[in-house]
Amino acid sequence: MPGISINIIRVGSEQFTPADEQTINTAIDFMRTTYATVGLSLRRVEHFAITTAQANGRDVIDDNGEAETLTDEWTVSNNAVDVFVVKTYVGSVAGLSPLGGPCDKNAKGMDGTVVELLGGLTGSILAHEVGHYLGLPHITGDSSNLMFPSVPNGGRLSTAQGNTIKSHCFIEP
Amino acid sequence: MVRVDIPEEDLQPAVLEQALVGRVAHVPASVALGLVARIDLPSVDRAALFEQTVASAAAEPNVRAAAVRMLMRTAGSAGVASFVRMLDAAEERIAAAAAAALGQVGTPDCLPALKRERQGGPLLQKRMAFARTLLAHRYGLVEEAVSLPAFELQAATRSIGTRGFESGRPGAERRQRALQGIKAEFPAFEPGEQHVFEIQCGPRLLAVAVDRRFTGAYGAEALLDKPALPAIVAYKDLEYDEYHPRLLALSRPHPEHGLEVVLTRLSGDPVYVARGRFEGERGELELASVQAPGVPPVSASLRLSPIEVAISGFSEGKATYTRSPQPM
Repeated sequence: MPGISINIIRVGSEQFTPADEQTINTAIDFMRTTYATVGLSLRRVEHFAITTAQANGRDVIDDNGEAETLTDEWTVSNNAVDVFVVKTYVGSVAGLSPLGGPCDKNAKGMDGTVVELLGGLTGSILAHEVGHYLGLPHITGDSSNLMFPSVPNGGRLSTAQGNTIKSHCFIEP
Repeated sequence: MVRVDIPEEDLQPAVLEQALVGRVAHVPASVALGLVARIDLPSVDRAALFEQTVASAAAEPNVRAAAVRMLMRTAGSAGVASFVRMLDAAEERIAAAAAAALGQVGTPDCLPALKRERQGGPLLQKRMAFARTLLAHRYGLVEEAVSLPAFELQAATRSIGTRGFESGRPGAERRQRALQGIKAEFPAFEPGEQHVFEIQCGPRLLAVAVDRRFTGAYGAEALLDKPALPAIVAYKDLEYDEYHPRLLALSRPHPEHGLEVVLTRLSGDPVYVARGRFEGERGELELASVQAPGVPPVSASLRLSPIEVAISGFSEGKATYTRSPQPM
């Protein structure tokens, strides 16, 4: 089965509690289960930390521009999607990603995803944003689909969406 | 991008007030902050609600820090006295957010508070220093010491993957949205006083708002006389027709180059530097990017005339300087 790997990067790492760690693990499990329905495995999940001091205030994301800057400034040099997990993303937006993100993570423009830690919604947000990175646009007419523009949603992926994801350059055979 | 959908019955003051301090499980505090600022809530004093959140020990420190910025957007200069008080907050993130707010909406009267010795880590010290610098440029304070982080420039070379760009004028709607986006963060910003130019560089659309007071012969004289904030650059959102201010053009006379303009992030980190000279009312500046993580090498020329700021150049396709998080 083809697969994808992700880097979970905690922004303001010392602020993350054991309960937050549990939320992250549950979210990863949700993503693994959701992607498996379209024949994609979640391979390596590597964990990284940016301390509050290193984050330079970007542990609180105030707008989408700041989220972009965060992904510009930090990069893990491997063939996996960088997922920056923040505890606070102000406003109703809970995650941001480029559509069809680059495989050269030093390329100009947003080159990672930002995900807000929001309890039971975190899994949907994570899977949704990684979906964008892998090339999936919003599906506005079907609230049962993972790529519906808001959460909570039904969290489902179609076979066609699975095929789109499989053509992304980060997919491992 | 994904949004959190909140049930309609929860969009009421009593629920949102509790949500701000984390007491409503299905309405996250971060979402409540945005809702209080955005939706119609008759009879609610938004500024008071944000101030109450900053002061609340029940709210998460991150939420309290974010509430400072929402207070700045809501109250503008009316919040200055509160921000000065918040500089003494025990939580560094809150004091740092208050310092940043003073830089954006404060007046020179705030400088003594921003100069007072305070306990606090590097984030607070950095935000206070940049707030002083920003005030010096917003108000043209010649006698105020300007302190920006040290930087080195990087040279850009044309090769495969470089992208050319040239500024143009946006349509009326994009112009208005860009100005609105800047006004939201800088309440004293005057949209009617701006020339707006835009630059498409790769996936990014940038709007450059240039203050008319710094164009023409009188403007050139002003730029060569004292520090100024002649332009603010906003980036268009990746997904929506919204703009967020991302770069502040801080100009000052330069003994060697004539004029130096440092474009910084709102956090005060330098990103681009332009240097050059004026002849009468016309100026020519060369711009390069700073060696900073995630900033690709850029080379550009800025030609300033009384009615136009023509910006053209190229950007390399990828950043040379990167920074990696620590493995856990």
